[in-house]
Amino acid sequence: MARIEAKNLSLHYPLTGGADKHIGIDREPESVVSVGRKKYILALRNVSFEIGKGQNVGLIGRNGSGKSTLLRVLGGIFTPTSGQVLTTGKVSSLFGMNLGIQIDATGRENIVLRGTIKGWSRSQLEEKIPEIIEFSELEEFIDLPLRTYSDGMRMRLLFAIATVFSPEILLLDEWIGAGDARFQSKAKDRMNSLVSQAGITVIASHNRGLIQSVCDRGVWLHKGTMRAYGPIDKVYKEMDAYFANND
Amino acid sequence: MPGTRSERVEPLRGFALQPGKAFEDIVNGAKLWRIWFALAWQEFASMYRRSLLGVFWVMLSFAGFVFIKILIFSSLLASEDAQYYDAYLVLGFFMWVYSQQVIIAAPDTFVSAAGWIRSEPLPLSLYIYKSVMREIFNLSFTGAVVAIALVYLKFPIGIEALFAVPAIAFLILNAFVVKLLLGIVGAKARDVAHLVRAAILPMMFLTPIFWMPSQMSRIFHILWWNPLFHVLEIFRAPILDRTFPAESWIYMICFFLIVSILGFVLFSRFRQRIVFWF
Repeated sequence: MARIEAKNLSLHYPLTGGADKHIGIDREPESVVSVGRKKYILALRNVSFEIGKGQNVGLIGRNGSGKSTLLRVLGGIFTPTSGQVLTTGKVSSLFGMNLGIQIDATGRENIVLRGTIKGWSRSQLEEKIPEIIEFSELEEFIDLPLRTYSDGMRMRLLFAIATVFSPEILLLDEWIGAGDARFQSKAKDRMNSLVSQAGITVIASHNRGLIQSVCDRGVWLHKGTMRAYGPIDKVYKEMDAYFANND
Repeated sequence: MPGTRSERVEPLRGFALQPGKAFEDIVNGAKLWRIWFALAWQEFASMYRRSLLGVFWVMLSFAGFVFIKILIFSSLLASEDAQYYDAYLVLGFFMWVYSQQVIIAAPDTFVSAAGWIRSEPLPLSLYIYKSVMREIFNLSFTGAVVAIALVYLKFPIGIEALFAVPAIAFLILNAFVVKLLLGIVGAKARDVAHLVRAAILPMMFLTPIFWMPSQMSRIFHILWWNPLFHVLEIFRAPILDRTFPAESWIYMICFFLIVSILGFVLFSRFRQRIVFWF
C-alpha cells in the first residue's frame, strides 16, 4: 500500500565548495541562515503533507523553490534537518539525466549497471532488458555509447529502466523536458497505469501542460515553504494570483 | 528488486554523533555484496574495454616493471645476493603497488560515486566495499605474477610463509578503514586528493622497496615510523626471512585502530552530510 507522509520537513542545505563566500547574506536575507561560520540555504521550511494511494502529485514553483530538494528528501537521498518522512512502498526515482550513468558505456551496459545498483538479479536483468529496449524504442542505438544519444533518447532509456518493475512510488525530477510528444503520451500511459494500481507518482516540473494532464493534485512550493496543496487546478490558480500581485 | 519498505528518516540534530546509524550503514552495505561485487568488476573490466589483452594488462604492466627493476638493481649486487634481492624487490613492490593504489584512490571513494549517491538511497559504505573489491581484483592479478616470479627465481619458501596470508587479509581490512577516513576527508577537502598524489612519489623512496633497512642504518630509526614499511614487512618477512615480524604487526594494529576510530567518528558525524558536498 503506497503512502507518503511528510511531517514538518525542514532542510538547511549547507553551502560548501566556496559557494558560501559568494552568496551574501544581504542578497537573499530570508533564504540564508548563518550558524557560526557556516551558511545554509533554507531549502525547505516546515513542509507537511500526505499522499495516499492512487495519487499523481505535481510539485510546482519557481526555480530554487525547493522542488528537487523535496523530491530527494522523499526519495531518501537527503536527510531533513528536522521533521520526518514516512514512505511505504517500493520507491523508484529519476532525479536527473546525468546521474548514475556511464557516458562511454552502451545503452545496454547502462541498463546492466543501473539494474545492478538497484539490486536486480541476473535473471531479472535478462528478463527485463528486452522490455526496456522495446519501451525506450532505441533499437540499434542500444548498443552505442550513451554519449551518442540525444537528450530525448537518454530520457527514454532512463524512464524505461525506472519504471520497468512497476514501482509503487515513482519520483521524477524534470524528466519530461526532453522526449517527443509520442513518447510523452506513452510515458503518461505508464504513469497512469502505475497510479491505477494504487501507486503514487510525484513529478517536479515547470511544464504546466504536462503537470495538468498527468497530475490530479499539486504542491506549490515558494522559497522552501509550501503555499498550497490540493487539486492541481486550484493550486495553479492560487499561484497565478500570488505572482500577479507580487511580482 | 527491493521489497516494500517503510522507512523513518530521523533528523540530524546539531553535532550529534550517530554511531548506531553509522554501524548499521556498514553492516547493511556489506549485505549488498552482490551489488558492490558486480560494480567493482564492471569498473575493473571497463578500464580495459575494447583492448585486446584486456585485464591481463594489469599483469603485464606489473611484470614489465618488476623485470626492468630486477635488471637494473640486481646487476649492482654480487650474484649470490641476487636471488634474495630479486625476491625482496618483487614482494616489496607487489605490496607497494597495492598500497599506492589504495591510498591514491581513497580520497575519491565517495567523490567518484557522487552520481550514485545523489540518485540512489543506498548505504554509503557500499562505495567503500566496491572500491576495496576493485583493489582485490588488482591484487589477485599482480599476485599471480609474484607467484610466477618466485617459482622462476627458485626462491625457497618455508612454512612460515603462511604468516603472509593473515597479513594480506589484514591489509585488505586496512584498505577499508583508510578509504573510510580519507574518503570522507577527501569529499570535503578536495586538496587531499592532490596532496596524496604529490606525497606518494617521495614515499616510494622512503619505503624500503629497492633498498634494505640495513643499508640505511644511520637514518632508519626515523624511517621506521613510515607505516608503509610495516605494511611491506608483515607480508614480506614471513616469505623472505621466515620470520614473524611481531614489531611490525603491533605497529600495524595500532595504525588500524587509530585510522578506524577516526574514520568511524567522522562517519558517525558526517554520513548524512556527504551528499551535500558534491
